[in-house]
Amino acid sequence: MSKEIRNPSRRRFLRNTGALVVTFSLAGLVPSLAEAAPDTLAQGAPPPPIPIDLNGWVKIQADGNVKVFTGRVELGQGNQTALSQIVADELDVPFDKIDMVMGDTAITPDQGPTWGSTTIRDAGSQLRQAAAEARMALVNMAAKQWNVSADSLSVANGVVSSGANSISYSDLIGNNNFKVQMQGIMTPFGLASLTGTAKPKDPSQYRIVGTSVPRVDIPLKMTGQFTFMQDVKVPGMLHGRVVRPAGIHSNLLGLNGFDPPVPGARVVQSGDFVGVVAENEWDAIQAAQNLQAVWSDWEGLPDMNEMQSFMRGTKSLDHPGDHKGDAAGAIAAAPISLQATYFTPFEMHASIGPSCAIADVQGDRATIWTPFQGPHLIKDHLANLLMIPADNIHVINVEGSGCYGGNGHPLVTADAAVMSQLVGKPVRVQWMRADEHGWESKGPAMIQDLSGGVDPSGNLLGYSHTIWTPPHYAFYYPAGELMGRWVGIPIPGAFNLPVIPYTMDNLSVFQYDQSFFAEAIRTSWLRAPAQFQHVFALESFMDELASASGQDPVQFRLKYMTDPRLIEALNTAVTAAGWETRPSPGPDATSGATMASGRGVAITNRDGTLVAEVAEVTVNRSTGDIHVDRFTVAHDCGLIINPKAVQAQVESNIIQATSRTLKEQVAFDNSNVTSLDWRSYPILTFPEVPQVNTVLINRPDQPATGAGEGATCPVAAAISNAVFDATGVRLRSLPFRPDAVRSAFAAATA
Amino acid sequence: MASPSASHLVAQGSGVTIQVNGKPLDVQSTPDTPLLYVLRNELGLHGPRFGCGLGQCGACTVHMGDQAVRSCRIPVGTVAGPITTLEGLSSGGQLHPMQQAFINEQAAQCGYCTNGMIMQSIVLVAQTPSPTEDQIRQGLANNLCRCGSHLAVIRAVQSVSA
Repeated sequence: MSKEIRNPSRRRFLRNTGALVVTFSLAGLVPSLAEAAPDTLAQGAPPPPIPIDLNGWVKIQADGNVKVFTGRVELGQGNQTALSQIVADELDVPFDKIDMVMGDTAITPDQGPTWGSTTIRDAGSQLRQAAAEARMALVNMAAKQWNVSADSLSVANGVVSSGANSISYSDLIGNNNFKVQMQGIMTPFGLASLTGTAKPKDPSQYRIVGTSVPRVDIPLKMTGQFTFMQDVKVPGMLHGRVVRPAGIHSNLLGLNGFDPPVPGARVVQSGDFVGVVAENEWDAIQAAQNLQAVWSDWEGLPDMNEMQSFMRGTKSLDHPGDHKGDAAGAIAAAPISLQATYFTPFEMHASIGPSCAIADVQGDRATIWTPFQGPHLIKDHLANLLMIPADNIHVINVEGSGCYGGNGHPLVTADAAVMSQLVGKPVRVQWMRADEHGWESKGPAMIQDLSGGVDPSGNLLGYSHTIWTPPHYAFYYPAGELMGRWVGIPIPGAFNLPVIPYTMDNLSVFQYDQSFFAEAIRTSWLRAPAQFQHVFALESFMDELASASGQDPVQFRLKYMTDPRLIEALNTAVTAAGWETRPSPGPDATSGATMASGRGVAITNRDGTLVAEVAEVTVNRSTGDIHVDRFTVAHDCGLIINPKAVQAQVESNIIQATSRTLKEQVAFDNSNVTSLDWRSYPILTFPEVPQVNTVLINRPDQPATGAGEGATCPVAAAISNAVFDATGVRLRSLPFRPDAVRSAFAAATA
Repeated sequence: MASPSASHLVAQGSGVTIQVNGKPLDVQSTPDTPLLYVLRNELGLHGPRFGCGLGQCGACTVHMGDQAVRSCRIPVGTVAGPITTLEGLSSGGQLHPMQQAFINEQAAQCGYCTNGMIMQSIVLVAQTPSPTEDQIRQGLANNLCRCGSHLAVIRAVQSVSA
């Protein structure tokens, strides 16, 4: 028997859940989603403000240390350090007095998941407000004690002073609590805003913010003393491993024991969910390998070599985006009109450490240790999976291997929870490499049809951008499906339509959602979700239009850019890169030499972070090898909290996105993923890593935006444009593997 | 469903003895168990990490004698030489210069691969005391990092070998 997953509508997805699904409202957050799915997403105004107690955020300890509580978590970007800098500055205490407690649902506020490069922007501003409230309350206590005006007091190193009087924060508050209420807007994805009566400092007063404080987590990570999720041990815990179906949606037909036997292990099963547990980890690993499970054939995937025609035939929702003038008419009437299709494949998050979690489910209560970026978010999911009250679930985040989005972290957490509930003991589940590659949620493939019109003077007359995509902001749990309980985030994909950073008279943006792959393959968000792909198409096509009208790619862009910060970023990047003003392709394209060099530019606005990049590449026309020699990046994320950490994020974005551009594509047969290790899903290695020249633009007068994703977005376009500049050949499908590059060269000369 | 059998329980030891960070260890796990699990679960050494179990990524790297080896692929019964892990690098309360260099350069994002980077780089510099950048890149070609901390790692190794 086989389970058909053919053209399911999202409605079916919801009806089949049985156990819950959408327990939240997106109204007020994402209006276009509410319009798109009125059947599931409650309508109405944003929720009213609720009181937020300061004691849940800041606690002055008797020893002078300050406990700070945040629902955001450390994923390796330096959040803990940067958030501590913000609080220490606002509270006027030394940096090393801050003790940051992160991602524990019992004691930290729900500030939403650590996603979308929003932690500094959103959680940072909330913590700044809380710290300002605490400082004001403490100063007022001292003023009352000395019967002086609060304005006359100063604070340094956690000590309030007035003339000869001085008193420490800890002496002021003793063992008492603050009596301060703030106001917050709580949404299904955490606290959207936090307001109070204290006025945070002027940025000119910052002493710790803006400096490269060394990351607090680094020394322990260099000595083996750091506790990753994979290192946590709970008394009495068993080691668990999953045994996944042969095909993505195969059914279990039978279990025929371990061959060869593994005496220390036993099977855990519920419906089609199968795992093994053992006291000894190696026993569990062998047991998972040796278990003779019989699965139905499931061959429900289309021919993935014909994915594009399949995706075009299976749209499920339409989302109009920006619209201005008459793009189709203007393009049709233009002296020069171009059409091109860009394709980006399914991708993996591909963490180096396979996902791991521990669950201890006892009756209707559960304690969960998870590396997932949304400890509060996952409570509802687990409640519906385990059929126990969400309020009885205590989730503790422990840092895992880098996740880069909705990877295996939540999924393995569900696996551990199900196994623990079935065996009645704590269970630690770590996926094996093939589990991670095969069963993590995948970044969606996308098709983008672009058309545009220019005249020979380089005037952009019309631009049209149509997208076909499975959802980026969805995911659901294999454990849930296997048990017959569809649990997850079934959100349609139009969370972010393309951001077009150009002002023009005739513009059309349109998106078709494609829900089939969300269920059939399981898609989710992957670093700079959709925007990495959007900018690849948009910024490559801008290059096509510039070339078609004989314009320098930078000058062509500048003509239609209006954001002064983005303009400055672009000018900064091209100056730093030594950009030569001329049209593409460049001289190497006609030289006939085997090795050809070129440069390409691309820009983006990622939620207020402005990035411009210049890529320089060397292409081997014979082998098809592309080597990215250097990236020059100008990066403006407003106020910089920690310059060295931002530089690290820029390099991280460039290197990972270069890997995605040159190498990455998930392979499938009709039944399942076939990229199951690092040979079949190669990523960039040391010899292939480009040099990165980073220019940080600091704007202390502007809000801090994110640095975790912006620099990812322009990478593929900058490389594609540089390859065109070097060779005159346009690459429009990721990845740019040598065989595909050779094919493109052959097609161009045919 | 299988049940535990007394003959498999590991309390009697496997008869295998290895040297780890200068101390002898009577191994309790079966001889076929990869060294990685013995280090992590018998000794609680969390420097070496499980990444792939295939010898492809390098997260589990330890030193066997003066070689960098993948502990996920070495059955503990076949260990031939003293084992040093990340935890065994420091001496007299001093971090190994390579560890200190990685701290100075902040050469990690999540840090999951870092063990392998440090262990491999130490052998790299021991074998090639003043490596060029290209030699560093080639020497680390089989150590994977997903976060993109490569350039900081290269800077750290250069600072030690300069």
